[in-house]
Amino acid sequence: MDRKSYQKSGQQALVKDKSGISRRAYIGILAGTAAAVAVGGVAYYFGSRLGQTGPRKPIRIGMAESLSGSLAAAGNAVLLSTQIWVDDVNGRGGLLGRPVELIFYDAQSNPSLGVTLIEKLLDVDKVDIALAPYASAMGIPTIPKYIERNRLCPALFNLWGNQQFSYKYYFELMPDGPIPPKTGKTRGLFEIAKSLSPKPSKVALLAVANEWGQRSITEGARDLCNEMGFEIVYEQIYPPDTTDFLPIIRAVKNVNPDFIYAATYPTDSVGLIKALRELGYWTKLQFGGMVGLQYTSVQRSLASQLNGIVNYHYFVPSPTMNFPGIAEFLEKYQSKAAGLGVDPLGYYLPPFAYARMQVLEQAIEATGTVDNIELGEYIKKNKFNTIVNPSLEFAENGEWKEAQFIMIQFRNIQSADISEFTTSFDKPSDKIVIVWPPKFATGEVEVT
Amino acid sequence: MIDFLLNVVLDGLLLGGFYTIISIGLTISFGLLNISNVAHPTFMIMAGYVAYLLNAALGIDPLILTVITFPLFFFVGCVLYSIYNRVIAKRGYEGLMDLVFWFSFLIITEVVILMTLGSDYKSFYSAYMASSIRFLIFTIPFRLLIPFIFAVIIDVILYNIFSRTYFGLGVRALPQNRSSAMLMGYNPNRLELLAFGLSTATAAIGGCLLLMIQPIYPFLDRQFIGRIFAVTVLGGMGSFYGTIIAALIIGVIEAIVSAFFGASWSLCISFAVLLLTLVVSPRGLLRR
Repeated sequence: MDRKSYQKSGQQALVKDKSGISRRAYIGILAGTAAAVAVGGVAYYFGSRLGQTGPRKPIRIGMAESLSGSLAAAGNAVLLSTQIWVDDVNGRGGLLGRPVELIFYDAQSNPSLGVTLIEKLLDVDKVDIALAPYASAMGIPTIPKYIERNRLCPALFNLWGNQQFSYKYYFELMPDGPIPPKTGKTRGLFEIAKSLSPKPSKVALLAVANEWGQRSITEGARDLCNEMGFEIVYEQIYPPDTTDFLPIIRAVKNVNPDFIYAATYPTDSVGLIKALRELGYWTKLQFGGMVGLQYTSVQRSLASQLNGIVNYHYFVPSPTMNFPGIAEFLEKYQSKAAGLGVDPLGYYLPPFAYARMQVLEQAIEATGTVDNIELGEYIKKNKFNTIVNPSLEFAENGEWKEAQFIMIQFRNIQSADISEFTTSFDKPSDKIVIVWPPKFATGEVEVT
Repeated sequence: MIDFLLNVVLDGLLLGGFYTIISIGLTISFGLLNISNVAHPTFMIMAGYVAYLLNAALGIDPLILTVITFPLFFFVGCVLYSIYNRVIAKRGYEGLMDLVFWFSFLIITEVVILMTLGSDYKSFYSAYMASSIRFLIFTIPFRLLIPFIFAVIIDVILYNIFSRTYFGLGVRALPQNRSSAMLMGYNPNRLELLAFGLSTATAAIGGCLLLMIQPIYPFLDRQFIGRIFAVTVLGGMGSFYGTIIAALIIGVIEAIVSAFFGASWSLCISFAVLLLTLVVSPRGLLRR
């Protein structure tokens, strides 16, 4: 190489160094990059259509549950049951080949916060499905948010929540039947009273002044009394923070009814039963509609004071209620519940929280989509195999097509030990006896 | 009918006993020390949980546990007052900041209980608490008789402490004229610290008894805030005999209204009586 040509090549080398890249190479890289992007995009598009890409976009399910506040005991149990379903379904490979992701917030037993969180789940987090919060006070105020967005509303124990909305994409897991105040648990005690011989005639009605108590009396018990021929001799709707129930029970005793129907919440259920026992007063039948007597902790606080009481329940392990999958679910639930401070046995709400997810799972698998409208249409027209009912169908209003509550009677409870309230699928319990309906009964009601 | 009425009045008196035991600590902290301690029922719930845990672990009856929780919560109260004194009182932030401080404590405590012990109901069962005494025409349940006896004893003891002892007279003197009390040789911080400790210690007794009356859960304290402030104000701020009289009046009104007119009206009428009393006697039934 002569001096001139050396200088030229040196200049060219200098030009390359200044720009960092030659024009030809620059064009080449641009073209290569464009081609790579195009090929990648096409591959991703077809890959995602064929289900052959790497990590799949998860199906996102949101919930705004009461993890603190007065409804926390139930809210945490609902969360645990839902998490068990998520683990189960992901263990089976997910839904539609996609993993399931659960996003949850604490609604703090505050209805307005619950509404805000459901809006956030739907609009900001953009979840595929948002579960309505447990309990009427929390769940019912959120329903308009689902209606505004035409989204599926999977409800849990919202007493006749859809009555005022008649929303077509609503379904409810509380097994109280199509007209809850009349077809549901309020009816149980009256059905038993009607079947007694001689038939009792006078009834006292007690209720806590909240959604459950008031509707149970005004839209259920009064009509049932008319229908079945019972005379209401006393009616009392008391405020939720009532501390002492002795005066109320004394007033009941004063009119001496044949039986007492009570639609109450946990702390007042305890107060009423204690007052009844302390006054040594007893009627042929009591109480029917007490919320709380299904919770292990409340049962333990009353122990032998429960003996003789007849009350509603939705599920108790027994040979007559041994639905496929329920035993396995309870085993998983009970193994995790102990460390979380939720109901250790979980007979009441958890199976229904799990069943809600089974309904969604079967609907998603059958339709092959998470489109809420398609799911809603499918749920209205089909049967579902769940751990609380292997052939579950919903009525037009989203309630269960047929009610499935049971009436139990506590007997022979000796102590507050948890074993007193633990029942088995192998043989009928002699401590928690299912007395109605005949389909599930494990014994006859005993009256004094 | 007269039997019914007398028994209902007795129910109200017994309920008033329970209201006394949960309010009497507030008579000290709010009535004498002018601390807006909205967390007073929170101490009660804390003590209920301590009693529950000790009962579950050692099998000790909550009635006996009052003896253990009393000094424990006296100490807890002293520690908290020291913090409150440094953060709020010494900086002259009393008033609204009082409320913020104690309300924050209330929220934190509720959440800590929830996260550590869960949200499930905690309860205690014993056969003797489920029984009653029958005397003439009266049926008296142990569940409410025991708090009533505690209420009378503690009220008399506290009245004597705060009326006859050097310490008690000092606590009463502080809100009237702090400087003069100091000139008399009182150490205000120490007096207030000990008095606040006594206030939380009485809440601990209320917590043990509450566990015997009904199941407890982390947020139960909020149910009692309105009633205990009503009792303290109606009784006359800082008056121990006024507190027990006010609690008994509210208890009897609630019982009679529940039995004869409907329980929904009971709280409404109780607070109407409170307002009327304050119109007639703005400083409550018995002035300190």
